[in-house]
Amino acid sequence: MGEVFQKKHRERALPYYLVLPVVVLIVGLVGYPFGNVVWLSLNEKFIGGTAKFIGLGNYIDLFRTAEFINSLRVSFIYTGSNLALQFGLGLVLALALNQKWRIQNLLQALIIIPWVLPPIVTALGWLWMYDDLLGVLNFILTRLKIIPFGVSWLGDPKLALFSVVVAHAWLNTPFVGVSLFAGLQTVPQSLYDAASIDGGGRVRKLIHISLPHIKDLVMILFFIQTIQIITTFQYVYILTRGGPAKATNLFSMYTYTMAFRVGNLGRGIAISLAVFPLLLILMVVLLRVRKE
Amino acid sequence: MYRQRKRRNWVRIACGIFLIVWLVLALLPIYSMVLTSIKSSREISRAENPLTVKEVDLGHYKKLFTSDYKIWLVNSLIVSGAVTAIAIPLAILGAYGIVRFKFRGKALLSISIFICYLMPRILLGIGLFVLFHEIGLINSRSGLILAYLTFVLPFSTWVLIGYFRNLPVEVEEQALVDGCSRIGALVRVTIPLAAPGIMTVFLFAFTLSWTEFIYPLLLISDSVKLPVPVGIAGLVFGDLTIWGQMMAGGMFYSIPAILIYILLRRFIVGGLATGTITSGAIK
Repeated sequence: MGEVFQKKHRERALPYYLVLPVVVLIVGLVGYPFGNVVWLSLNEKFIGGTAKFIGLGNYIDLFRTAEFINSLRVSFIYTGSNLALQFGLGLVLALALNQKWRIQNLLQALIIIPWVLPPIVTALGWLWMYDDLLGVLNFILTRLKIIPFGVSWLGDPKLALFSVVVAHAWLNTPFVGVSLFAGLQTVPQSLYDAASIDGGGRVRKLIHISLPHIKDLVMILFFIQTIQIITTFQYVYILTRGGPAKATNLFSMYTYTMAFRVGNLGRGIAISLAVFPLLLILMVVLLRVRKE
Repeated sequence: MYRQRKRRNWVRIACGIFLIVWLVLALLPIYSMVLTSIKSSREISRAENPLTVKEVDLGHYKKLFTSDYKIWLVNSLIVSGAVTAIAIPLAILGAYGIVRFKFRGKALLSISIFICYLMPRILLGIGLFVLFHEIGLINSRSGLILAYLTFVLPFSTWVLIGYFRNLPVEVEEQALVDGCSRIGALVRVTIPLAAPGIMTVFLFAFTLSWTEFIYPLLLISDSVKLPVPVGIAGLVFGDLTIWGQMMAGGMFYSIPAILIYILLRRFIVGGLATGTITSGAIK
């Protein structure tokens, strides 16, 4: 009797043992530091200094400064234009791939390369592309006489944000395109055949058959990409460091500068935490979509 | 009918042209990087034609192994290797527990795993920076390994949950009936069955660690403790940027990522169609 009970008890405890390492890591290395940053955002805290409680002071100051409002604006434009580029071009790419080419596999392998390379490597590649004096872009464009003299792609406040968005879209559109293409391939041919008999055109087939069929994939992809683009950091860090004149100062970049260059940890955290609720909403919606 | 075929041809031609233009634009930066990496610094700074090379010079690649790059590479290998070696067994246990058992707090745990993975690293990075200062792990490779685990372990667990869910329970139940313990069944039945999935997660986890940038930027200040991504980013000095060296370092560092992609190609495309891998494929 005792033995059976013991075995049962062990069985019941087993799942807790199994998930224990994951739980310990989440609590200790994510939960605790996260709780700590929330607390620090309510303090005046500099690197190496002691924390002094100031309530919502950091947040109130943020919303009063033009720099924070600017970083929200930049993040918004950056995310919006990136999503538009990635999904617009990605869809065209998927449809173009879906034409049943004989070298389908080769095409796909070549297209995905920008996404396969480590992002830091391609970021440095774009720094080179955009370089004023030695860079590739100015060389080609002046040679083709499209522009009379070299443009400062990353140094001109009017151009810099656009330049970084293009580089980022270059990196990610292949992924979106190939994902959508993989989705399109799961649409059964019989659905298209039925539409052909009914006399459906190309565009109507796309809108009424293909896209509804891959709706879930598109939704998941969309939310993942949105979360990822909003929190993006390294492309801006490598290409512009948030400049010139704060033109590319995404909130992640602003957080970094405030916390590690200025040394004001509390204020830096507050910048990111102010945006965090939005991210949380996106994550919850994403979880919902996945479940369905 | 004839007219429709004709129109179809035009669409096909337009798609073909689009793909060609796309490929040229997509591959131009990479072509140019490779080219820069095999030019001498003198030729690069002459600012003639960045799209051709006059004299192939492998000096930048040779220099990688006599400079700090060698140390960064070892750091990258140690950290990525350790993170993957720790994360995969723990993820297998965790995912197995979540898929095969009912217990209190299970739903909360699943959601936390997901949120941890998507946590903005710049934010959690500050928390880790403060924590590691307190416990003396700042500026150390062990600290870096712990930091990477905060996204690699949730990611691996999450993907394995999806994978285990699709495995048939019957074989495992048979093993239990035959007198296997739960853990025995996991080791002898489930893990071998899930081997392809585990391999995939292993390679993805390695790639994630291999390419990570923010955490070493925040947590390491000593150049000799840096992994490659932050190391080569430090070669940017405004007008004095060492382009050839940087590109050679970047290209060399890309080799494992490319090899892993080739190994996983079939799986990535299959997973993309069903949306199982999208959450994992974040960069």
